[in-house]
Amino acid sequence: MFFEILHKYGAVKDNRASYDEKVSKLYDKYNIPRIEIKLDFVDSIYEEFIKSDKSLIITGSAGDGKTFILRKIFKKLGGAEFKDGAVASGVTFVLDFTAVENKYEILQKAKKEKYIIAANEGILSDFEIEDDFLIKDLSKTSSAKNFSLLLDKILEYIDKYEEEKDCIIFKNIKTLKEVKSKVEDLIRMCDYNYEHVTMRRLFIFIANMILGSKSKTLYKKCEKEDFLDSNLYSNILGENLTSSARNKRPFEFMQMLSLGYKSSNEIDELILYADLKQNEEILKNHYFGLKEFYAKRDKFLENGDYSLIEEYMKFFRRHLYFKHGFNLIRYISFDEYKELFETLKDGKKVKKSIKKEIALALNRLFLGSFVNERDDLFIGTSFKNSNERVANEIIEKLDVREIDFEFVKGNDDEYGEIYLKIKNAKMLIDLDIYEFFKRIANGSLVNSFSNEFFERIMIFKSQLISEDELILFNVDERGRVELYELELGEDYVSLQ
Amino acid sequence: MLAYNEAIKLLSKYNLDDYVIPAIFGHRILSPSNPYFTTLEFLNIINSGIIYGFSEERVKNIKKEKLVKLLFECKEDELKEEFKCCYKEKFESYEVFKLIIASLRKMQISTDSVKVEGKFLYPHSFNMLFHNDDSRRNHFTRSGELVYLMVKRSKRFNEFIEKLKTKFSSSKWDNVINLLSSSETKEEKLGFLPQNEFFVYDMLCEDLIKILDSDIPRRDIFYYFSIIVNFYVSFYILSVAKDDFYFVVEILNDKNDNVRKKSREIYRINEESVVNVVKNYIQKYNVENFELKKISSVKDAHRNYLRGILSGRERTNAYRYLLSDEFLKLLVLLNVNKKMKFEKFLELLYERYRIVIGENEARKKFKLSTFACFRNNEKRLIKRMRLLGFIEEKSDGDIYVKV
Repeated sequence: MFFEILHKYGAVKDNRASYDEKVSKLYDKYNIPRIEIKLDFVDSIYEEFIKSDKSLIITGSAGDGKTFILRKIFKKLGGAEFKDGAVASGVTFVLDFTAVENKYEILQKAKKEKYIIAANEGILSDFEIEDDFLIKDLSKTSSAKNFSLLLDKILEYIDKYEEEKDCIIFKNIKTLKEVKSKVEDLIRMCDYNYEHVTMRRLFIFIANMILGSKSKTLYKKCEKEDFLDSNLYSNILGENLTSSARNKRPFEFMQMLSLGYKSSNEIDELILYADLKQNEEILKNHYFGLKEFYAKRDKFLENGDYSLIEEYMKFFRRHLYFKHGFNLIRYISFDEYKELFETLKDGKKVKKSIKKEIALALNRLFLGSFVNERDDLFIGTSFKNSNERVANEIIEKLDVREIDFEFVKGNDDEYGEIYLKIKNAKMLIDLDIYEFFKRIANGSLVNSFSNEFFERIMIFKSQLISEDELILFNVDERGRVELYELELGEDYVSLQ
Repeated sequence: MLAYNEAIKLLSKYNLDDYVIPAIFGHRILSPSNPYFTTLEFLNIINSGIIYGFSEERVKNIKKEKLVKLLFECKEDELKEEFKCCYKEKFESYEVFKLIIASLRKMQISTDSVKVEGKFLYPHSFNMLFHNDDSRRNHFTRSGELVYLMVKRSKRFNEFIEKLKTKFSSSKWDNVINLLSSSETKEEKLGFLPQNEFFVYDMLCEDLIKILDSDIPRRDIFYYFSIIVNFYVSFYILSVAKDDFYFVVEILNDKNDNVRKKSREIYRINEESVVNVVKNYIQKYNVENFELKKISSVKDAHRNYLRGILSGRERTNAYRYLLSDEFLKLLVLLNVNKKMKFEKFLELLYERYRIVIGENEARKKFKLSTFACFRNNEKRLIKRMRLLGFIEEKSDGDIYVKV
């Protein structure tokens, strides 16, 4: 019976009103308490609000749980009937600021009396919100943490309310329990790219991960389905969904990881010849026996028809990623970024090797030349406009120690924003841009990336450019930078 | 536009073989030989005005003959001679002198011109601007003079000059340029622009001021000035020709669709309006002996000033309105203060620049059985802007343009 509720959560169409209603009805029907997870920051928001004489605005994307938090605070304040405009202990609750007609008036009133207002982030940017309010942005909350809490709760409900059967759903659950932290990492990657996944989307993601298939009868009968259609791995990528559903968070992100498509000869040989290499352990899974695969593989080796094993290969590559930790996704720098994030979160010092690698990448980007300098940072630019990729002059040479980071905390202990700081210039470092740095430092060319990254670097650079002297440069065969500093006096020009 | 007899009276001092086009659009609007030259010509006049005073009749063009010779004519041995003769006291060594010359040469605006009169420096300050003698006006075609007159006649001209002076007045190259060359002046007559007041003049000046007010670094000012100046020359031509013109802009599509068809159609209509305004004028004032082929220079100018900004023929052989990344970037920088709803941004492009990209704006201008193609056009714009880092998407579907 819980699967039926879970399936409703997984309803891909975001028709909000009917969605909440249908789920509530099912909870009532089966007499199951609603799934709720404990969000630590609700208490701290409450405390802060009580101590302050300001009104509170809870903002965030739709489906972020704003109403949920308002309801919690309403109860804490001893409110009776929770509805829009309700008052509890002298505090007025506005449940949906978007729907309010006289928005400006409400904001004015909220400066004088205490209000708690839930507002989608977008609508607020139409108003000048000054320091008169406490503002809590729920998108500055760790989706990975929410995911982990929610998944534990859902797995607990399944254990409690569903009976185990030999079917694809329970195979998914078994697999999920083994690879949970790896899936959590995928959501963490969204966090690291500041692509917040709302509570509602997390529900959809988890429901789809477990139940998969579009078939409505699946969860009732728990039929034996073809593993290729609804196994956990392909469900995570949303491969069972329609293209429009797949283009939403977090599936859109999962698709972009190329998981199952990215591989190497070495990995593919490991899969294909696992039996010969006595390495079968790594292929073992809950979905099918290996004999089935070997039979198809032998045929493929005989006649070269790759379509026979294509789906199996995708499955196994994903299996190697999730179960055995092979790095088969687009990012090569996730672990390093995670380490940097943790270091900064704990207020520790960043390793010099990371700064040096960033210096190397920035030097290559700023100078438009394949230099090998990593101990100094060269701020270079073209003689013409700053959009030109090849630099002619060096504006400034800085020691690598000038590279610094700033960590800005969010609502919970797992959310944070990393900024790269060099002198007065500041830039948000997400996983994508960190990956860009890493790859440039490894020798990739700028043109192999989306223009977006280069533009972001150029905006950062423009904050660093101040011009007094003229420093020309030359790059030698080993990629070392030689400088010629010229003093441009009023009546004399000389080499310094 | 001016009445024909009045035009003849006013224009007689210019010794022209045609008064019709100057009476309607102004003195010589020719296609630019290079995307930067109109702005360069414009800034040259501004520079001269700041030093010698602003006039609408005459200009003292500032020349730097020695600099031009050193940079664009001298070969290595001649440079050596020059150094020995005149620069030993000013530069530490020949190597330093050569390094400076080589650096300045890298600042040359790349052109097809092999002749010295078509060679200029990318200006980082007023001191790097100069005028070259070009009797046939192949490079400074007078369009820059018209741009100057437009800005001069706009309401915020003085404010523009003050801001330009603050942002553009000095560069580290100034000393070097002074050491290399002195300046000479040559007084010449300025071109002729019919209307004393026109809304386009104010729009142009406003956007130039916005560039100066923005965070755009000084070294990029000239680059963005060139884009906006070229856009407004075309905008001016169309505004004179037709009150209610607009651009239907395709965001480059792989396939042919109705946006492309509409863009081509409106492109042709706009071109036609330039021809028609001239034809109507000839009829109205019974002008005899007018060679119709003369219209084509203005017609071409409409296209060529927009080239690389808002016109092109990628993937087809017919011209239409296409939005370039650079112009898009500038439109965002000029009009978005921190954050703006995407729909509002499209509305602004339509209201201010008459650019139709999305469905809402298209619906205001014409009827079609379906506007799905314009919705897709919007989507392509979002995709492009996302790549440029200008888009912030909320999970509830709200899309914002951010700087």
